[in-house]
Amino acid sequence: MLDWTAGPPGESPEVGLRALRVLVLAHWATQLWAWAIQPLTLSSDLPRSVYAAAAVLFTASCVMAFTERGRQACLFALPIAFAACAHVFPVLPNHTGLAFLVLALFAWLDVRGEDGQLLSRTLRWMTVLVFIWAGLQKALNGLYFQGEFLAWMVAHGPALWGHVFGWTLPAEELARLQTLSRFASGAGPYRAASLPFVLVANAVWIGEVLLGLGMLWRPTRLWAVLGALVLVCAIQLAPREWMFALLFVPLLLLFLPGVWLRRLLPLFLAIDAILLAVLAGAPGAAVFLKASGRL
Amino acid sequence: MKRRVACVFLLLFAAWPALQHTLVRVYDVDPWRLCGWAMYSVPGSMKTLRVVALRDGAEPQLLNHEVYPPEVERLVTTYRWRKQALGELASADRLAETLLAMHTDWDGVALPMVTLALDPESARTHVVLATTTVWRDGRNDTWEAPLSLFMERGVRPGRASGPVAPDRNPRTR
Repeated sequence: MLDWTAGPPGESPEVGLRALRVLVLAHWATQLWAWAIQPLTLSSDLPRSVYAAAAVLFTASCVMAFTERGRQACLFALPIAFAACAHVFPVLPNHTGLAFLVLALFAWLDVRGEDGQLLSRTLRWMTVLVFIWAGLQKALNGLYFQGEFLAWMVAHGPALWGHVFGWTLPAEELARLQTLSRFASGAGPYRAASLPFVLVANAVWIGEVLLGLGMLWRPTRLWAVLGALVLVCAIQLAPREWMFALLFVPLLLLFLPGVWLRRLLPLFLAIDAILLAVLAGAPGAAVFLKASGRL
Repeated sequence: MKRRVACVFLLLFAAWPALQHTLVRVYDVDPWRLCGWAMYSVPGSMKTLRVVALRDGAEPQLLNHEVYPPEVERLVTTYRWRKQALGELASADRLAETLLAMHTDWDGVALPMVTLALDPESARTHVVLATTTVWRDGRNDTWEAPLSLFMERGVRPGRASGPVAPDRNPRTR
């Protein structure tokens, strides 16, 4: 089954893996710089200087990953990443947990030869599994079938949710939802008699499951990956999960010829830098930060 | 060998969200946490914690959560985040032991936490109140906290509105 995510015969994943390795280290450096700029409010939180020192080490590892010592850079960075995960547990962001596992794989396997093939297939499987499970979990928790979660977010989430999904609701339904009290027991129902609204809500979880499965079958892979890229980018319209997207979009691009990741590498690094600049006070918070003012 | 290790890793990676979902159902773990990929499947955590001093033969005393001493605030904050994320898997022992050591006149400490959740069947919000009680003498009695503890600044059952500020998450997802 591992080979279900194999590329076309003769494909060398090395170019894409090298770019992804840089991006994973950049992702970690960005996360640590973000915690240095805007400290966590954990009771056991560390001084900013500790995050800044870890961020400097990760930035150096990221630079090192451009050379032939990329794997050593990951090996060097891995214990720091583990310490950061342990420190933030149990409120570790999911994308940070994923970034840790990806980093661990890069520390374990080389990007060249058979190691590279195994690494590429494993990372692709992880991408597929995250996508499928994200859809299944939405179904398992039962708040998507009649748009309950979406209704809640339109009613009480950041205003952007209302702007992005409001068009799927009749004006009176939108007004009703937005007047429900967020913290009153028995408030609701968080449902709306609107076909477009219910279709959009269900399209999200069904799309995640189907696109994930589509990536496993070579004839549908390209379309599934393109669909997944559109979905992940569309999701940014409301929740603005840039950190998740900056990790997951490169993982999806690993299904395409490696040259794509290499070409887009400067763009991803630029977005990392923009996120940090905005977090430090540069203009653009409305686009790049969540409603909470965090990354 | 490396291929086998990768396969085992992927099997665990594939199975973990199922286990995480079980932890969510059985132990009230926050679906957003522990890398189960259930983010945005439910609204973000809406939980509020109180600390109550228990003395035998006296009325329970609600601690003023606005003005905890710094050392208590730190411990309460840690417990609150852990409780929000890990549900029943979070231990109250450290907080309770510290509070009982600081207040020798307390016989026990109760830590009621109220959760406001969105019910999938009715699509309405509903309240769950669960209290962790730790007694100095080790007895197992649970003090049943009244929901009125949260009325001042918490959920208001059966009412359409009310000033509230649930405990906020320490960071975004």
